[in-house]
Amino acid sequence: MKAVNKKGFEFSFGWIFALIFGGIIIFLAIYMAFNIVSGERRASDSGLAKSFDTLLYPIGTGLESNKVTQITFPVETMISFQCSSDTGFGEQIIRTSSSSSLGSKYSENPISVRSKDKYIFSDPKVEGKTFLTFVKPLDMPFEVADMIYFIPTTEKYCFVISKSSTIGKELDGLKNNNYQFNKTIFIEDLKNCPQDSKKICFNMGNTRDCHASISGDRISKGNKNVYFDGGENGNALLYAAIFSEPEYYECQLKRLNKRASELAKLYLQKQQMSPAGCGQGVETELEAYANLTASFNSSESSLSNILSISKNLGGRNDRLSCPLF
Amino acid sequence: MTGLAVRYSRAQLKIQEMAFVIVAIMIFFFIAGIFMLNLWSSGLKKDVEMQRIEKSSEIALKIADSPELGWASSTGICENCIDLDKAFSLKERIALGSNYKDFWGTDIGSIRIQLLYPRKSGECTISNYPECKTITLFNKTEDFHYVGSYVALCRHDEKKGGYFRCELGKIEVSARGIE
Repeated sequence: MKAVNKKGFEFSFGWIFALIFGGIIIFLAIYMAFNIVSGERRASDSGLAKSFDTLLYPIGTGLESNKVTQITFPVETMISFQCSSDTGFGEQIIRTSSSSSLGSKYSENPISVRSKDKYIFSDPKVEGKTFLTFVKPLDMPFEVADMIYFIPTTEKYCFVISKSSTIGKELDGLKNNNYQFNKTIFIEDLKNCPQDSKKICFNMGNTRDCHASISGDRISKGNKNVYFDGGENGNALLYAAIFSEPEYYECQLKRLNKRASELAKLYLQKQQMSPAGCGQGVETELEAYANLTASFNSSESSLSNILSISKNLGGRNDRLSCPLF
Repeated sequence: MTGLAVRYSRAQLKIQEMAFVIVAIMIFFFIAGIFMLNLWSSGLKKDVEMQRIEKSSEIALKIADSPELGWASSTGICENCIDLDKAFSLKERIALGSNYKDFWGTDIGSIRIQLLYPRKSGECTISNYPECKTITLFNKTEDFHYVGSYVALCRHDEKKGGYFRCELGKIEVSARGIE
């Protein structure tokens, strides 16, 4: 006969109770800690986006144009830019997410900061610790807005253009202004461009190696074309199209035109109210300009007409004894 | 009838003891959690408030130079100079329903421009402009305090053959969280 061990292992109620409740407590503690950490991360990311938005205010003035400003974040940060042109003046949407060694590197859905008066031109998502910005005012024919160009120092742009051209001289001036900009922006022949750089080609036949090809008033990126003013307004639109994606550029241009339309209406109101009678003689052009900019559709179909009327308006205003703008 | 005597074993006492300890620990964590949450949210509130003040002062300076208000003539851009005619026109445009109320941020409660010298009084209207003191572009709420900066208020004066006249003024912005 086989001997049976009747003693066995006694698993008392105390043990079961301690295991179940202990497990629940540990689970709750981990869950709460995770929630607090991710909540804190979201809060600090939204605070960072707000600070970044505030930081762009002094940068975004006409007085600071032609100067490179360096922005350094405490840790590696991912910034995403979106544009919405649906309502009113449209919106610039900014999201920042600082890198963390806990969980995923960047938080998945950081809180957005929205502003109606900013126009940032950049890749939709940029990553890095140090970024460079420079500003150019868009005059069409009066100042419409400040265009902010935002470049991570991890990116390299090679402008295939003569150093003696207007753009070459301007970029050279900016390079002297900032050491880091010197390592980000290159003005070279195509064969001398750094291997990992985005090549910006001007008036070249072969565009296979180029990130963007500029010919006249057209910029081609892949199979998409966008249009600018051919450099008539100080290259503000040219840089905008170079540093951003075609769809984003079109959206920002729509926002800019909405603002231009509102400004034209404001100048009309000023003309009607001015006790000194300033701006008499530009009403018809202003009204036509306001209507045209309000109905802006795309850079291909609308921009050349707007630029033409803008040129006439500017010329007429300059000839007035009391100019409107 | 026979009386039933209740007997507690040592094991049962231990379970009770452990249950009490667990409940006490849970209460402790709960109170500590509430305390931490309170501390964290008050810190966050202060941060947000500071950022709002910071942003308002920046905005007051920025608005003075924005295309909607800034003085720009063929002679060049003037730093922190407001075109008074444009400011008054903007007030009228906003009154007509233009979208400028939230243009500089939803946190901004009101924006006003005041002439400090020479001394004048009253809110500017079509009937008294430019012989008035204050241009209130919009005023969404009275609850907030103002943050401002000094500016030059310029306009074209038709007197003496017409010239550009600039006077001392202040642009003030009120925003949520400024106390």
